[in-house]
Amino acid sequence: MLAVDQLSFRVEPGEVYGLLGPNGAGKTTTLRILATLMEPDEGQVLIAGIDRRRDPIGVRERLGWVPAEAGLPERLTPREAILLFAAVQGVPRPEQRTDEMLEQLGATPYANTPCGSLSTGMKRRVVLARALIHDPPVLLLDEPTDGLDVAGRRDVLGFVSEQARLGKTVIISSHIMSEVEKVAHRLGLVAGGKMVAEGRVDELLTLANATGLDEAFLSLVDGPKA
Amino acid sequence: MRPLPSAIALLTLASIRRLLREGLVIRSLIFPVALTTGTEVVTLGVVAITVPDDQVAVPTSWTDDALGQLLATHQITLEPTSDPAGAVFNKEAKAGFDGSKVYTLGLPPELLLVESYLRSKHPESWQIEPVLREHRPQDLPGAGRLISRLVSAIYALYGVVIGAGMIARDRDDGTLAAEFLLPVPRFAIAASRWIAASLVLCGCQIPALFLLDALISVPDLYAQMGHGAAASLTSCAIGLAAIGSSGAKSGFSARLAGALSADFALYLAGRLIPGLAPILPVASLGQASEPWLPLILAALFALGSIFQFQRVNGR
Amino acid sequence: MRLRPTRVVAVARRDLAMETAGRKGIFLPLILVGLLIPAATVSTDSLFDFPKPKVRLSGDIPAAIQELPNTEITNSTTSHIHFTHNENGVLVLHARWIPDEVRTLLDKDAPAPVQVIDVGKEAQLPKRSLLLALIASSVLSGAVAESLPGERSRRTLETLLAAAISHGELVAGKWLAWAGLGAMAATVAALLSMVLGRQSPGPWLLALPFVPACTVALGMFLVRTSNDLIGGSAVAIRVLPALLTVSGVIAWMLGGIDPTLGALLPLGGALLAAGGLWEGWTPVILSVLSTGTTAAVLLALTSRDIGGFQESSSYFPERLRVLVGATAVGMAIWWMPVAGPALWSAAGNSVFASGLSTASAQWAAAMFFLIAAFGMSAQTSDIPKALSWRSPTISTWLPTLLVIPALHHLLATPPLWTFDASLRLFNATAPQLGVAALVGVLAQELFFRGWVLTRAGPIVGIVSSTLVLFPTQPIAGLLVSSLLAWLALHSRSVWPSMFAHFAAMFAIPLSPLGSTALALGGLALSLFYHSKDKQVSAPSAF
Repeated sequence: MLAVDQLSFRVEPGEVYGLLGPNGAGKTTTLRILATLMEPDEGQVLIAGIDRRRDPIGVRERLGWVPAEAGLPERLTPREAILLFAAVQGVPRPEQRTDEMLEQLGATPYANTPCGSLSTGMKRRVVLARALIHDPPVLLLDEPTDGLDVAGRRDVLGFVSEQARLGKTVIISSHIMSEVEKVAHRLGLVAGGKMVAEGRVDELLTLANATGLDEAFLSLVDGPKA
Repeated sequence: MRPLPSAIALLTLASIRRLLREGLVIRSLIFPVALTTGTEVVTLGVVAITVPDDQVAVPTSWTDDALGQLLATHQITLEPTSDPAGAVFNKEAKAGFDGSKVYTLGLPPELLLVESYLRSKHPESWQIEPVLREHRPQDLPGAGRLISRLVSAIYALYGVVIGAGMIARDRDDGTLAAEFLLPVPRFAIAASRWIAASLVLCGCQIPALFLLDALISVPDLYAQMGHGAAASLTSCAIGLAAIGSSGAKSGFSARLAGALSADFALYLAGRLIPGLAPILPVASLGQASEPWLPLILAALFALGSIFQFQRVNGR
Repeated sequence: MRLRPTRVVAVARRDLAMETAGRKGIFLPLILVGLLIPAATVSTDSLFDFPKPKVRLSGDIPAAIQELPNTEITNSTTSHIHFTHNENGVLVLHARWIPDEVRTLLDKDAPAPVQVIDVGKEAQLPKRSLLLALIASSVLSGAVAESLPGERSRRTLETLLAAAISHGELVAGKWLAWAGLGAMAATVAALLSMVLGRQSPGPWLLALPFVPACTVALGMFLVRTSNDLIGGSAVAIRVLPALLTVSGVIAWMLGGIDPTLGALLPLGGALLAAGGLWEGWTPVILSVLSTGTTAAVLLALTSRDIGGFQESSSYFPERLRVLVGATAVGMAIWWMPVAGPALWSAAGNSVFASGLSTASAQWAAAMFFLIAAFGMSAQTSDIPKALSWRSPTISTWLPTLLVIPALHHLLATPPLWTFDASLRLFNATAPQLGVAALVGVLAQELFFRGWVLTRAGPIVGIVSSTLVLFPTQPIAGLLVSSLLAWLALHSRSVWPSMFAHFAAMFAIPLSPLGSTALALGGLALSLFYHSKDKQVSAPSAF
């Protein structure tokens, strides 16, 4: 099955890039290829200037991965889970760094509660802390606001903007257009595994001659309404 | 509302269908058969290669032809050699002798022939009349019993995994929640799964024992089938009881390990208290006695686990 | 491949922490301790008791012999030794085998004219450390399943795969956690048994940790791409203890020829070396090298595949796969009952071979064909359709009746009929014909004319049936298979071929009247189903 076809884009440091498209468009596959979790049949991927085929570990050292599903060990506490992961990542002074990250994400109050008992929003914070534990310059987030309430979504998106301000390269995938347009500097619209259009929000609106991003997307994918 | 027996039958058929759909289950159930037959082929192959020729080694100075004639009637030839003991040790001959000493590897029939001949030279000693043609399968040491017990034990282990796995997986994929909404009591849902798992398990175990009987001869075949079925039915019930209220995603392997330990405890109880071995399912594997008591106990185990399922999941 | 010790240890620590966290985390250590401590300390020599067969005695049994343990008095037709006296009053043993203790007892009062010497070494039994190795290795199968398929199904493996470690480090870490735990548990238990004087120290101690080490590597290899905990558990629990046992048995047999051969067998060699079966350092060192290398290769293969990048794809077209698969499975099912006795004969025990149950062989073959047919068709959405289980049209029955005499003639050609061949090979009588044979025909037809034909078309159906059922008579076999396949294809139902096959084999030999009655019965059955419903005729059992 062809999931992603001839898709090409470039993201600069300090930039938030939104990968938008409906379910099954190929967003997650694209992110998984970037995260070295899948092997593309052809093409080239450079993360922070490093070819993922030549040096996958070098790539993984430079990226933080936030999967759509939390993937937290249910019987471990957030502190334990992050600490053990920090050791795997080779983080110096892992205890101190773990506490810093938990504090930064406001997860300290439940740092010693088993992950299985946490709410979706709490788990998302823990996952973000885990992804940033080794301070990677590139952050990949797959549908990070899925299942969150209004406040949770605001917090996560705010956190994404903050990371970009700190100079990190952020790629975020979502099927909710209106949400990502608030934080993304540039957007890539994906459908059927192909890049349909790419650019700033205003550029896409002009291109599609539309007033909103949803309308622009439908127009670019299906053609303008008769 | 559909009558209860027909509801259980329909749920059972659906469960069997899902079990068979999982290639892994079928592969698991065929595995012990492939394993035992494969092992037997390898074993017999090695033996066929290493088995000594139909020869009896004698010293090169041997001149008495009467023994040669006696052995020839059994298609055995004399092989003159300087070292009869060495020839037997190196599996070049089935037996050998040197004066009054007869060398063998184990107790082959050729030994009796040679020994009877040598004893006939000393009429005052007790004598041997070899009875070679009446060697029968039941004279072999209990290899068939041992292997059939091993195979049944493997099926019992799968019984635990399948019994537990069915509930866990169905809970995780939502099938169980959907069935909880059916207008049938909850015990019917557990009962149908236990029946399905047991039928599939025994449906593979019985032909496996038939095959073993055709290959190595299983003593008390039908008793072994009964005890094997009792072990499988009990193990499915234990698996079902262990997972009762949980899914696969939370602590499945710990519960599974607990269920496997319970199965092992039954076996151990039979080993430690010999009186229990013929009546306790799992412990009764390999027993020659009638399997009715273990089968009745297996049914009681099943009833227990089915009603325990209803207790933890509500009516 | 990068292998940084700190990262490997970090992964191992994470795995151990995840398994032992919380209340449920106590299970694995508890089971390990609960099984290993009794095995290491219990003061019995009967851990590996292989019961000796009882010596059955009959006739004028001397009193001293009667008092021997492990004897049983029986009648002359079933006894191993029947005692009589000859005309000179000398004791005569009509014997099928004479155990050493009987011989020694009879020779006690007079110098033995014949001395029997067994030149074989005393059959050595492994020591209790073998049991410790087995327990420590088998208990870990659940943890191995949790470690890879469990983590994959909970999506926690994904974050590790995206972490800054190589796949080699990831696999090595997970292996270290469980192999280390198993090796440590087995070694501590062995030390305990030595302290209590249950087993004396020796080179076996070196081989002991290699058994769990290789078992865990093997377990990880087996479940390396599985993403389902239950499936993974089933594989690990199914395969690991079995492979351990089988490789141990094979190593034991090879070791009987030469300890070096046994020791070189991966896993089994280390298992028996750990059980102290062989004297000296050489077998132990060889077993450690062979098993250690195997573990390393398995780990390398696991780390190559753990990313799960490659989708499983087959290089061979569907029909070729069905042809090879159906022929191999069919051969194993159909010929094993004949190959078994043949092997026994080759191994020097033709008398035993002749006593094996042909009826059981028929039942086994029939049942396994049924399992194969149902198992394969259950993978589709419509089992009756996959097996061509539907009512044929009435017009089919005329060709069916015409085909029967031709089939009968062809099937009568010896040795087309497998069991006919086996019956003659091993001088068995043939009272077994009947229900088992009927089920056999039904099963063969469901498999070859039902599943294979429907799935892969006439060529594969005919060729596989010929190869499996009639390899010694390919021309006649091809005709039989073609006729039956034609019936099935013509009627789009498996019933006529099933009926024709059965009638040709049994009814015609029985009597011409019998075949006519069967034919009329078949016709009536067909009419009955036809009148009920032309399209849907599957019995509710499906």
